[in-house]
Amino acid sequence: MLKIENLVSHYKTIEALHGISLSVGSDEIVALIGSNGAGKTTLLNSISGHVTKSGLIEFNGTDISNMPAHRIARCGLLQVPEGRHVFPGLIVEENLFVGTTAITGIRLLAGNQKEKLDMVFSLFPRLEERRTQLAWSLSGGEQQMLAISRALMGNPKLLMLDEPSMGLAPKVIEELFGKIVEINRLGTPVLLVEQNAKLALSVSARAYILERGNITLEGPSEELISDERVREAYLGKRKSKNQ
Amino acid sequence: MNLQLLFSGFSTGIIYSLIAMGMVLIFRSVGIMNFAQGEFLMFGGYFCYMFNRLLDLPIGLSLILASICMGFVGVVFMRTSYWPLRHAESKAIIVSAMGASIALKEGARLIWGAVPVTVDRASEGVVNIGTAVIMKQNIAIIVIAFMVMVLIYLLLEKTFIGNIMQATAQDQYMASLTGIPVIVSIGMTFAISAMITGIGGGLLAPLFFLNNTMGTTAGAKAFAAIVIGGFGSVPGAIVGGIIVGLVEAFGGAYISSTYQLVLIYVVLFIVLMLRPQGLFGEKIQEKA
Ligand SMILES: Nc1ncnc2c1ncn2[C@@H]1O[C@H](COP(=O)(O)OP(=O)(O)O)[C@@H](O)[C@H]1O
Ligand SMILES: [Mg+2]
Repeated sequence: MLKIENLVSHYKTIEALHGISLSVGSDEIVALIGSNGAGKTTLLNSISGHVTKSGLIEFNGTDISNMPAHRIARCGLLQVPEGRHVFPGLIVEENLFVGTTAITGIRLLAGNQKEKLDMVFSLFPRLEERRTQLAWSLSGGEQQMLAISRALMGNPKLLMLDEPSMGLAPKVIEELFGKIVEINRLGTPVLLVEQNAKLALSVSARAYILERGNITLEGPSEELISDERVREAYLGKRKSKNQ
Repeated sequence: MNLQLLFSGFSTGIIYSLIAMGMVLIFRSVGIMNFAQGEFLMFGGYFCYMFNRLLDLPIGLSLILASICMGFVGVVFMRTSYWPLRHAESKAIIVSAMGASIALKEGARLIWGAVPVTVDRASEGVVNIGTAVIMKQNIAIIVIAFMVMVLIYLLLEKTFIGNIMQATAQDQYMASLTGIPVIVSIGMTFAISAMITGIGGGLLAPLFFLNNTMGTTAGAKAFAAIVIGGFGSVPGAIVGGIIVGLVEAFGGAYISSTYQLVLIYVVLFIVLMLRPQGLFGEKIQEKA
């Protein structure tokens, strides 16, 4: 589905990713774990066409590494960015309509989107209650639901989520991750970026660990969760090392 | 109350509103005050003159064709004066817009000459209300400008393409992540902005004659209208424009016709002293 080889990314003269290789299969949840500043967002933004880079990025057999961002989205590779980025001045429903641009491009009228709206509202009933509210007025959890739903309105062939748990209460996170698993079960592969390693490993089939712009570890999530290095660095099982 | 002054002030004012509204649409879209907006008025007026007087088309059709031409001018302006500098500091873009305004002024002189010209009235004759004699053109200006505003409102608020333009204005990064070609979306905003301002030129021409420098003062008045109405607010720009027109008309008649512009700035200072954010402005508008 998504295949990345030897990806090197730059901000001006600073190299932020030093040769990443990674793949996501057609029905799995793959987690990308790393601490703050490791380069997780840079990786997603490189894939979606927002960071200067070199290397191979193939999506469904097509080389997308030189495509502009909006074309990549129209291929069905949809990113829900860090910080949600709902359109604050549009109401919930309009935010969702805008998401359909990924399928149809710009047009005069939104057309009948009832089927799609029903689909996201059944997944997130709270959004239906908030349907005519301006997006900025939603709570953090609701904004995250809206951001994911907006991507779902675009029929993603692969969904890239950047730290969906950020800033949310534990109960909300639990509910949200249940929905992410459900979305995946309905047939959408997910590349899940998280600082919260425990959570990400518990819902994913495979995982990559990113440290300072390099993948340092990869494998089935079950194995990583019991890996000594992972436990020490990401699961709060710190030993004497720091003392 | 002098009805005649009221109508003439209101109708020139609503043309300032069209300029101000065009500026605000661009400001909301890319965060830049377009100081070449007044030149869109002048250029639109000349296009209207070309269709109406040189090609002998009826004024209604000329206004529509002129507006369409201005759509193209808006796109070219965006592509040449804004897009190459979109990552630069805003002062660079402001200077570039000022350059474009000189190019538009001199371009108009090269194409249509330096002699002031005019176009047909959209509506001939006068209406008598009591003792007041009101030009039908003034009424036509108000009606047409109002229709343009309603159309723009419907386009921006009630259509998908309007949502796309708003979404792009609010968050370009996210817009591109949903599959919106940002350059197209911004181009449409510039096109609409130039179209509504350009129509104003064709409406104003029968009253004041067209010359290639008229855009500069009109642009300055529209900017005052924006500040009075509240930076970035569309309703504010409309109301601000009308206020400027009325101040100009009544001030010109009762106080001094040489100091009209001064009077506008006096009103502007009074509004800013009482309400620093302008009449319709929110305290500080967050651009998410
Ligand atoms: N726009 C930018 N310009 C320059 N450097 C950046 C920019 N964004 C991120 N970086 C740098 O790239 C590195 C990776 O950042 P990021 O991808 O945001 O990490 P993460 O998402 O894992 O927290 C950091 O060192 C960060 O300072
Ligand atoms: Mg990040």
